[in-house]
Amino acid sequence: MSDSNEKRLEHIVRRMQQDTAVDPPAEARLFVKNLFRSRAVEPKTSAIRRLVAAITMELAPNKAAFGERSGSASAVRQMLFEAGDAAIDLRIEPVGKSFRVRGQVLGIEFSGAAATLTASGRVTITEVNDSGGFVFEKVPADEYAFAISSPTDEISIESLTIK
Amino acid sequence: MRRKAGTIQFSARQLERSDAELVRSCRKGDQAAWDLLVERYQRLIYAVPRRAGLSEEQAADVFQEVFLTLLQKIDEIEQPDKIRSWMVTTAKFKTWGIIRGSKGFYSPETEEEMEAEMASIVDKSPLADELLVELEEQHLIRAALEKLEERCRTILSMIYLRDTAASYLEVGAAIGVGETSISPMRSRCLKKLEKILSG
Repeated sequence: MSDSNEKRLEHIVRRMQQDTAVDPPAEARLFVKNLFRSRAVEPKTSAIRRLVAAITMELAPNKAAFGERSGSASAVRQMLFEAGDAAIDLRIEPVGKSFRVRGQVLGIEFSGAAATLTASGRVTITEVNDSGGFVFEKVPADEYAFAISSPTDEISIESLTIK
Repeated sequence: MRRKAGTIQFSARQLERSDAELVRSCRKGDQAAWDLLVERYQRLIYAVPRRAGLSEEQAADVFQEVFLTLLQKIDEIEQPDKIRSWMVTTAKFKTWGIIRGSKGFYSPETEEEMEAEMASIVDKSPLADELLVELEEQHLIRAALEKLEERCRTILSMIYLRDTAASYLEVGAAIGVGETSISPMRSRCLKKLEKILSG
């Protein structure tokens, strides 16, 4: 073997030994693959149903719901959105300097789908569980767009202020 | 990114579906092509911010942002065969945005704008070109390993891709051959790998 071939093999070996690269977290990979869904289904305009959710009820923190005893008031801000046959129950709770955003989508099957919060170029993703529930932890105060999407349905909340 | 003199050139032609083919398929709405692009480049793109010292969470943000930007610009990319370089540059830029304490991400329109922004940064040591060359070469070697037959892939992975290299005894047990056979097999596998990398 020539010197140059030998050096090339040594170089390859060295590169392999230095290789510490690992896969990104699973949720980040899921998010990135799901990004393409909106584009992938564009030619089949009838294949995906897109719904924009409208708010129907908001209960501010430390306020009891109408007719409830004042003792039921909590620090959690609760909102109910409706989109076609579906509804999204969102609850925003301050935790330290940030917020926990948890919710449940009802009326449409979204098990395993991706729920995303997008603000200022940051995208946070979480997976919807079998009950339609989802949780985002450590969410900074900001103006967000929320979306939840499956291969057949997508529901979005165009503006969600978390503060 | 300019390749420094003295480094060894690897060919990207080893890849079964070229980057350009995948980009063209993505433009037609092919989800499978997009998934393949993600799988092909996920480690490379995630490695850029990690090697620059960002946390896993920050690096995941960079990884997501790079692919989000790619999706937004996929119809405008003039040289789809250079997508790897474009993605690495984008990852580098977004990494620097975080290192410099930028709020949010700034997405310049062109690679030239990115380079101009990068040129304004004085201390570039965490993401020197040499490191990016190393990451790209490692990416190509991983891709070439995938093309080797399973036995060779096992031998080389066990010996070279672990924190602690496996002994010949361990490798022999893993593939069902005697310890003394491993050394010549390792040499043959390395040559096959090099041949794939030469395109």
